[in-house]
Amino acid sequence: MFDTSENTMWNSKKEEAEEISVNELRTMLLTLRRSRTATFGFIYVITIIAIAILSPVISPFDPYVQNLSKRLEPPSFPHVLGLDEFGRDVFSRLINGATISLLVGLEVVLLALLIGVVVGTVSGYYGGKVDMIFMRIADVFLAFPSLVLAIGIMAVVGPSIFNVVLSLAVVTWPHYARVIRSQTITLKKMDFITAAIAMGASKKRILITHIIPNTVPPVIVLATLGMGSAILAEAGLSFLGLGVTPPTPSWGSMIASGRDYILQAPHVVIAPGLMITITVLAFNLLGDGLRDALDPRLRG
Amino acid sequence: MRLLNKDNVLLEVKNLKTYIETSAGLVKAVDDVSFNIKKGEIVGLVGESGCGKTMVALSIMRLLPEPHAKIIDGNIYFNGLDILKLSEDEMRSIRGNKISIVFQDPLTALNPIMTVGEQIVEAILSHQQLDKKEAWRRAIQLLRIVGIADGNVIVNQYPFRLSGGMRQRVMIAIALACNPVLLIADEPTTNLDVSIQAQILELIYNIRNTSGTSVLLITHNLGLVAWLCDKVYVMYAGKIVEEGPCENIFVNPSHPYTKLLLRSIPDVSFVREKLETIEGEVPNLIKVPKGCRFNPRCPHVRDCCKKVEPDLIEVSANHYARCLMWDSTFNVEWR
Amino acid sequence: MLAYIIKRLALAVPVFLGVSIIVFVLMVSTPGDPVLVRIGLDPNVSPEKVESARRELGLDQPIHIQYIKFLEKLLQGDLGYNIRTGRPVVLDIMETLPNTMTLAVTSLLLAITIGIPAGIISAKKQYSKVDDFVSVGSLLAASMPNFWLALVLILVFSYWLKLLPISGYGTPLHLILPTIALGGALAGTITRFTRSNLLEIIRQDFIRTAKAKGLKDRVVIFKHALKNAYIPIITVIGLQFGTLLAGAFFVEVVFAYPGIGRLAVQAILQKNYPVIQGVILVVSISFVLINLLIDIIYAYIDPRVRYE
Repeated sequence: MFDTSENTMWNSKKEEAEEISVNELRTMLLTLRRSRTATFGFIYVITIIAIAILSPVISPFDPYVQNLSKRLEPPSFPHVLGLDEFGRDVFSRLINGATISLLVGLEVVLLALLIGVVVGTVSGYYGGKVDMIFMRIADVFLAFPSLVLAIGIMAVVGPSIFNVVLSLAVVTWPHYARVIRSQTITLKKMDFITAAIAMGASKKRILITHIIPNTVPPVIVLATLGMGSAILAEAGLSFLGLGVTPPTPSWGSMIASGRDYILQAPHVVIAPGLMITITVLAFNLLGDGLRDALDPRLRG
Repeated sequence: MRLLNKDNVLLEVKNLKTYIETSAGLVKAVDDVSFNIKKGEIVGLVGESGCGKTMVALSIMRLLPEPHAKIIDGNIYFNGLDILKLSEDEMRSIRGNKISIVFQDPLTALNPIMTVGEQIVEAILSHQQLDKKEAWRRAIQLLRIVGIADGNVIVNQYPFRLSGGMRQRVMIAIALACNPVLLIADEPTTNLDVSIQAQILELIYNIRNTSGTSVLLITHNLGLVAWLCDKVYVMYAGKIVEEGPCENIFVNPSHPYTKLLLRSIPDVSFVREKLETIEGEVPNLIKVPKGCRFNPRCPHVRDCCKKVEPDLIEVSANHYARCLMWDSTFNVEWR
Repeated sequence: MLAYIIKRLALAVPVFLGVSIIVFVLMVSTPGDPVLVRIGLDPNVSPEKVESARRELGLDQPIHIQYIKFLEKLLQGDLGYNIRTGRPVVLDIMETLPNTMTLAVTSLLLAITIGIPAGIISAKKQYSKVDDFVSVGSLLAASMPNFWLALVLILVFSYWLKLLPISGYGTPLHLILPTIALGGALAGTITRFTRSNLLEIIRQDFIRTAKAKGLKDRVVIFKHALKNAYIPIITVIGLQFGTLLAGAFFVEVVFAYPGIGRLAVQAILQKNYPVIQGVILVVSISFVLINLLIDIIYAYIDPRVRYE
């Protein structure tokens, strides 16, 4: 059995590694507070998530109820953002659309991260043939402009929320895998990994307990920025009729159907587009702030 | 009061204060530093990393990383002219021209996508009216001066293809391009092999001897200083703690810090029992200790050291130390 | 240098193969009987005709043989036939691809013309109000859905101000709004990238050396900093070209611009699968080729790569 004094040295290196991760997260949050734009992003994101979760409760009107006698009414009280081409309340549809968009975004990001983290860490850590095969596959996917491949897939499988999530995840995971692979390769060379190997830990154990937890900070940045991209992508697909199907409210399909009436009732097109822009902007500002907070060179 | 023969003085730094704003607080990197360099003199500025030496060099060149670092107070007289009061345009005509600087890491200090020749020629043409052919000829000549014989080949190489020693010679060639009267060398040999170090130092020595160029050598290595310098200033925690002619400093080190620095030079010429180190950590330049700044690490510390901050006190002719041991009021403590 | 080019070309071959495999997989996954899909959805077609068509199209063969046949046809430039018109898909693509490329190139030029100077100004004046404004503005541009921007532009400039045509193709005027809609987001991205790159480069030692030589600020920025910044910027432009091509799908639809994107979207509505696949194939191969070109340019301008 190991001499206990050696044990403590290796253990303290392991604690050092865990501390790195925790400290990084803490520093991230503190540095974040200093940026005005990142704070705005953070507040907005929290707000819109709350709105999305509470949508059934706070939605002033039912987003599906039509009122054909009052089609395309401009904004006025109580319909603060007016009515769409079927007489539905735009504001309520926006709120419910938030739920859809955020949900789709979240699912895409989580699924793509799941695949990306597994492929990236395994590829980066084991190297060799495994790495080559995985990265070749990723390269093939990356050879397509992402949305073009997603459009192609959706054209073949047909529009539905499930398919949207799947196709977007399929085109997104290679980007994540590459980033995480780089991170893994950097981590692999660090002392605490050598220490763990010397202690007899199996490769699988090292991956799970040491490598993956230390990819959390860049993963958080990827996830935040990824939400913005996913929301834009879903809006685009829905706009083309390849995403969320009516009557489910999606910001993208709202723009598509409102397009024919843009002259008479511009609010039907402008409102959802503004929502997309500001929401994506907020996620990007937050993600940027998190990325800067992570960058060791920019920390004081 | 010390009197300077003004005719002979090339550079006079008076009560220089350079502070840096950081997220952790205000760093007093250079805190009331005064020194002078005479014409043709090689002056050493010695101290540990982080004691403010590089900030002194950047202050003289007015190349401080703005907006966080600023010269708060003091004057810098170059040939009698206060260069801190010059406009940026006027200062630019001095940089690389009358005063040149060589930095520590020659790989990162050279532009990676320009050939070595292009960078030397750029230095030449920035202050001199020559046609391109002449400039390139001069560049090859400069390379020969710094010890690179096949200059006409090297001139077309990119920095990444040259060895560390060659790159540093190129940096010196760039610095000499316009025949400066003052050459500042900031840790010029730290990243180089020991054998190359000697060659570079000899080069600097020869430059002074042939052209009369004054040199400010900034380093943490007292060994280099002994070899090369006429006069030495020892810096600690943003202040000069000892100054004097080189011989005096080495024969009669008067500040405890200088003594410790001398003892910790690795010297293979005789066997010692253990390698001496200086206890404690590099001082915090944001929260400086009360009294003498060296008191937390000083092996001779007394109570008075923690309360009174010493001035530079005369030890012998032109030799001063910032230590209460030499102060007539306090030196009883050490009897 | 030549060795580098050959190596890159060799590495591109498996990628081309992979792309063709994915498009083939998409092709065989289309819903419905593939024969009917290929020869048209006429329900009165006789069963014998269907069978003979099946044999003709090689659809009775095992999958890997079908793939080989597909690859063969591909290399001969046969991308199948447009279900609606019966014309070879290649012809449809050859008519529309140049229009899309025109739009893509003008958008790229617009994005570079705005993006690089904006990035430089923003980096030079870091911490100032100008920097804040440009930073947020560029991110805003990159967060806007291009199809929405297109609609807003039409609303303002075509309907309200009556300055520019709503849709179509032909004169340079027809290109203005689509270029702004497509290039806007890219302008934002290029601004941000130029800015962050320059900021990183400015902090490096060789910039300090350049200043120590007594060079003017303008020279330091343009000759030393920018020249180093161009290298990663060019790489990013290559990658972003894919986003441009994808964006063209949306912008062309809104402006009824006769490009490859509009062709594809119409084909989707018509379930004209050969056209869809042809477009995806051509767009992806173009993307790969452009990135190959960028890699070669990159090797040429970065001496560190040239001498490897």
